Formats: sequence, C-alpha cells, structure tokens
Amino acid sequence: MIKRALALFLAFSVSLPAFAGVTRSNADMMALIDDYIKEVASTPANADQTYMDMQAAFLAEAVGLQVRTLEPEDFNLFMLAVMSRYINKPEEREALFKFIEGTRQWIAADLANTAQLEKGALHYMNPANYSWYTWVVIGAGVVIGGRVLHGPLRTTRFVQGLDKMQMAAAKWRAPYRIAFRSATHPITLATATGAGLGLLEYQLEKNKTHRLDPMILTNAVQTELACYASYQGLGLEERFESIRDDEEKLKAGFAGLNADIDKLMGETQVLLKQYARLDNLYLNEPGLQAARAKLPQASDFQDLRRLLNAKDAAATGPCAAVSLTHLVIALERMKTDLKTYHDVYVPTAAQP
Amino acid sequence: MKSFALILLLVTTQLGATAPTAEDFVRGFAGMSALQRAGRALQTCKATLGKAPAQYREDIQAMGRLWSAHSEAADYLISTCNTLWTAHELDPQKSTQIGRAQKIANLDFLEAGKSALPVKIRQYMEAPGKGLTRPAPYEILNGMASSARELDLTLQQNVGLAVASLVALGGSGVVTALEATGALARTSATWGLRASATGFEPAMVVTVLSAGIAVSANYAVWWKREYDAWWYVTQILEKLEKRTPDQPLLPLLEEYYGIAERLGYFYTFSLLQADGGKDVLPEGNARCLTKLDKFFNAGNINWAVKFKRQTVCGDAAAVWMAAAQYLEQLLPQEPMAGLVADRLKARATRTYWAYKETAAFKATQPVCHPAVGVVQTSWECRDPKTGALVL
Repeated sequence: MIKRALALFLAFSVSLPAFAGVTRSNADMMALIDDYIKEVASTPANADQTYMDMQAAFLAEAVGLQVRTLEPEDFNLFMLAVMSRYINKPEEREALFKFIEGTRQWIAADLANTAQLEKGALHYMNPANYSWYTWVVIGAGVVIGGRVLHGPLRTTRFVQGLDKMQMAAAKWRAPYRIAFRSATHPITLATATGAGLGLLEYQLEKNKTHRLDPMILTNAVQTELACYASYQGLGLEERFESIRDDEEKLKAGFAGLNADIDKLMGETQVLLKQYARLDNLYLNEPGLQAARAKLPQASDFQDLRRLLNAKDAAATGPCAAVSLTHLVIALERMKTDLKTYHDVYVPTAAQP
Repeated sequence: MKSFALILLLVTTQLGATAPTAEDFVRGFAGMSALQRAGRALQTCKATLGKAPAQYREDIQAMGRLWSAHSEAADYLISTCNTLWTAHELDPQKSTQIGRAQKIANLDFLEAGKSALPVKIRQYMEAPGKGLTRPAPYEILNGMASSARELDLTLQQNVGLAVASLVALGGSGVVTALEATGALARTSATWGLRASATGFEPAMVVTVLSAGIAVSANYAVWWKREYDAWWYVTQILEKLEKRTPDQPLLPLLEEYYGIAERLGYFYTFSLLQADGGKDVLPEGNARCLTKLDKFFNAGNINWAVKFKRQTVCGDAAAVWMAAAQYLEQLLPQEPMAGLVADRLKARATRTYWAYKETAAFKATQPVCHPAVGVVQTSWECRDPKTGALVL
C-alpha cells in the first residue's frame, strides 16, 4: 500500500519548466557562436597555448551563459544547429566542444532536476504504450493487439523503426510522446544514433519545456562520427587494395590516398581526445558508459566488414565502429604499407 | 592581430584584479563585438554577485539607474546577472528539494523501521533547508519577490504531501500525519514567503488522507490555492501600470511572462505534467474549451479586461492568451512587450491544439484488455467503434 502511494506520488510529481529569459533569440546566439568560433580559431600560432586555452574556456563559459537565457524550446533547437555544425565542420569541433562544456556547466542543476524526476517513469506506462517503448528502446519484437509482431516491424535498423513510427504518429499520439521522451534517456540515444540527427531533431521538436543535455547530444553525435570514421577507413582500405598491385594506379593514386589517410587520422585523433573528455565528464554516469559499451566495436577493418555484412543486422545495432584507438593503428599500418608499396614501384634515391 | 589584442585584453581583465564596472560596460557596449559583450558581462556580474549583500543590492540598483540612458546595454547586463543568479542560487536549491523528495520516494525512511518512522520524518521535516542567500537582480529592480521562488515552495509542499501520506498509510494514523503537516508548515515559513497565504489547512489534510490512496487525485488542490496564483498577477500588473519611464522594462516583462506561465499551469495541471515529461495527455478545462473554440474561430475576442479582473476562464490556453492581449494593450509601443505577448500567444495556440489532439486521440484510442492465451497472457486492443483488432 505504501509503495503504491509513493509510486503515485512519483507519477504525479512534476518536472518544473526552466526559469529562463523570454526575450533572447536563436539568431542572436548564432551570431555569438560565429564570433566565438572566429575568435578562438584565429589564435596566432605563436601565442602562449596555456593562456589561449584558458581564454577559450572563459569565452566558452561567457557564451554558454548567454545561451542559457534561451527558452528551453529555443535552446534545444539552437543546440541542434550547433550539433549539425559540429558534424559538418571538423575544424571547429575543438572550439565547439569547449563551448558545449561551458554551456553545460550553467544548466547542470537544471539537467539534474529533470534527470531525477524522470526516474521511475516506466512504472506508469500502460501496456499498450509499453510495447512501443520496448520497440523504440530495445528494438525487440513488438507486442500489440495480443500478437508479437516480427518482420518489418522489428527494428533491425532504427531508421526503419523511425519511419514506422512516423507513419503511426496520428494514431498513436501518446506512445509517440513516450518514445521521444524516453529518447532523452542515454541508452535510447545510443540506440538511436543509427537514425542520426533525424531522431534527435524529432526529439528536440517534441521537447518543448526541458533543456536537453548538450553532452548527451554530443555523445550521440560522437558515436555517429566514430561509425562514420570507421566506414571512411574501410573505404580507404578498399581504395588501397584496388591499387596496390597495379604499379600505374598506385603511382597515380598514392598522393591522394596518402593525404586522405592523414586527414582521417587527424580527425580520428581529435575524436579520440574528445571521447576521453566526455568520459571524464561522465565518470558518474554509468548509464551512458554502458550505452556506449553496447556499440559493436570491431578490432580491425576485417572485423568491421564482418559486422557490417552480418545477416542479422540486429546483432550489430544501429551502426558499428572500429574502436578509435584501433582505427588509428589500422590507419597507421595502412599508411606504412602504402609507402612500402610505393617505394617498391618508385625507388627513392636513398635506396640502392 | 586585432583578435589577439582582444584576447590579451580579456585575459588581462579576467586574470587581473578588477572586473569592469557596470558603468564601464554600458559605456563601451556600442563598440563591443557580441563576444566581448558576453565576456565583459560575465566578468561584471561575477564580481557583483561576489560582493557583500548591501553592496550587491546597491550595484544592481546602479545598473537599473543606467537603464534610462543606456537601455540596451543595461538590459543585457541585468539579464546576464539574473541568469547567473539563477544558475548559482535557484537551480541548486531546486536540485536539493527534488533530491529530498526523491529520497522519500525511495523509501529511505522505511529502512529505519516502522516504529521509528514518525520520529525520522519529523527530524527530516524540521531540518533547516538551505535558503536563497540573496534576492535575484530582477527582484531588486522590480521591488517584488519572483514567482520563481514559488516553485521551490511547491516542491516543498510535494514533499510534505508524500510524507503525510506515508505516515498515514504506514499505520501511524491521522494524528501523526497532522504532526508531520505542522512540521511542514514550519518549514514553509522558513522560506520567508507569505506563510499566511501559503499555510496548510489541517482540515484538508484529514479529508484527503481519509481517502487513502486517492490522495494524489486531489493533488492540484494542494499545489497552490487560486488566490496565491493570482497574487503575483496583481503585484506585477500594479508594477507595470505604475512603472516610471526610467525603470527597466525587461525585468518586469520577464517576470510577467513567468507569472503568466505558472498561472496557466496552475489551472491546467495535466499540461504541467505533460510539459514536465510525464505520461499525461494535456486536457483543457472542459468549461473553457467552448470559449476557446469560439476564440480561435472568431479571432476578434479580447480577454484583456477579464485578465485584469481575474475573471478569465481557468485554463492555461485561455490565461496565456488573455495575458498576451493585456500586455499588448498596456504597452502597445514597446517592441519587447510585443515579443513577450507573441510568445504567450504562441504557447496558448499550441496548447489549444494539444487539447484538440488529446480529444481526437481519445476518441479513437483502442480499448485494451488482457487476453488470456494457452501459453501466456497478452494484451488485446480493439477499435472503439468497429470492435476490430488493432495492430
């Protein structure tokens, strides 16, 4: 009886809308971010790095405080734009990451409130809704109308699940809400990365009163980027394999391939560094760590190929990645092999 | 090179002894980039919030005095300081309160054993909470307590409700529940709020508790009384109407928006729950829905006077629309007031359509019940009209 009473208490407890300014606009904040990126990116090469880092952190904090004044709805849409920028402009990632850290510190308590009140929500879903929740979160078979549905409804790929969900939106309004609210849970987000920003965008649209955690968004995006980098690495290896036994092709393609390997290595190293920083920030959030651990990770390209070709795509989840450390090693090995082949075909002066 | 010079300047001011004063800030505002404004405002506000209470109050008032000559710059600075105050003072306070509520919900008190329960609860309720150490910049400039503080009190009341039901249902009886409630009323008083207006009514406690598990059904009653919800409206309208031309407008408008928002949530509790992320469909007040239908179809109805007289229909969409119209009428020449009014109108419109969606959804929602099979029990859902199985 007591437990039931308290369960009801939880069910009726409310998360409080954030107290925020109403007169600031997204456009102002975008201009501010532009200014910030320009400033941080234009640091002279000979500047003292410690000072510059301190200053970048301070500016990020200052910009973050201004962003906090946005209403939650605007804040979320703004963060989506920032995430999009994060994906599309690798050269800005370092500065944007600092900005995200700076922003999070100002909304940390707000996020803690939301997280605390969201605990235990599962107990209050009615069974019809719960099946949809299961569908979204776990990608398992869906129980609706007394039947366990497999086949097309089974979310072997999350994108497929999203499409189905959109089709069913008008009919299943309440489950829809649950799906996207639960998507704020780290595990769901990790599951959702295969759908990329499509899901995040949708989720953001549905989240009108809560600020989303920029770090969780970043984590989702980082996972997506890790997958993307792995696929790029796989593509580079295939390019290498297609030219390495053909002297003419290798001579012609060497410079381009070498540059692309270098570029990907550089980006992967930055990703790796940011992953480490995210890990530090989330030391006390095992849910997020566990979610990331669930991402199928290959040890090399061959392993990755095996995962991607697996018939049961559900086993691979939304996307698969070579662990970033292994990716760097694999790229370094590829670079060495490429050079070796090149040296065989084009003996350098140093060689006898 | 220009940017390097800027960085050096900021580094110097940040790491140096003195932060820019409010006067320095507003004087240099026009020549600053967006980034410089953000950086300098943060420095100034950090320094201001770090001062002793009397000096802090004086600094904020000085910012207010700068408004008539430098309105844009002063708005920027005051708004930044208020945001910083919220991040430093109000949010941690909310976190603490929610943590306490969560602790109760986690049955921590039951671990102490049933016999010790009332004592433990009393100790808990009487433990002093950490109060807000200083008023918000907006509160100083507006000359009134912000309704944002009520959020904390609401949480505190929620905790009290849980405790009261816990005690009653735990077999300790109504007498103990009343004791817990008394402790709660004392705790509320420590918040420095209007204790007389927000105090509990023991008779209601008995009534609600005697209903046992139905306690949560009456939750909205507990949240706040209607009078309390309108008290802030009365205050802010008076401030807006009596505002002198040299008084900063932004803090009043921000507070107006916050008050209207909370008033709407007061009437439409399901919307507060839904916006708070609960599995609840927002439903408008049935009595007001007809009026809202008429409003959104006719488009030429003005509820401003009703808002002023506090006779607007008790529903979030209606209240927000009325608040928007009142503000437009009161400050027709102020673009910022127009912006706030637009926001309120947008929320009202969105809420109205959410009600419509809820109604449409409910009309077509499959009726589900357990279907006992040979191997296992599953759920079966049927279309309410045709009776057909629904996938």
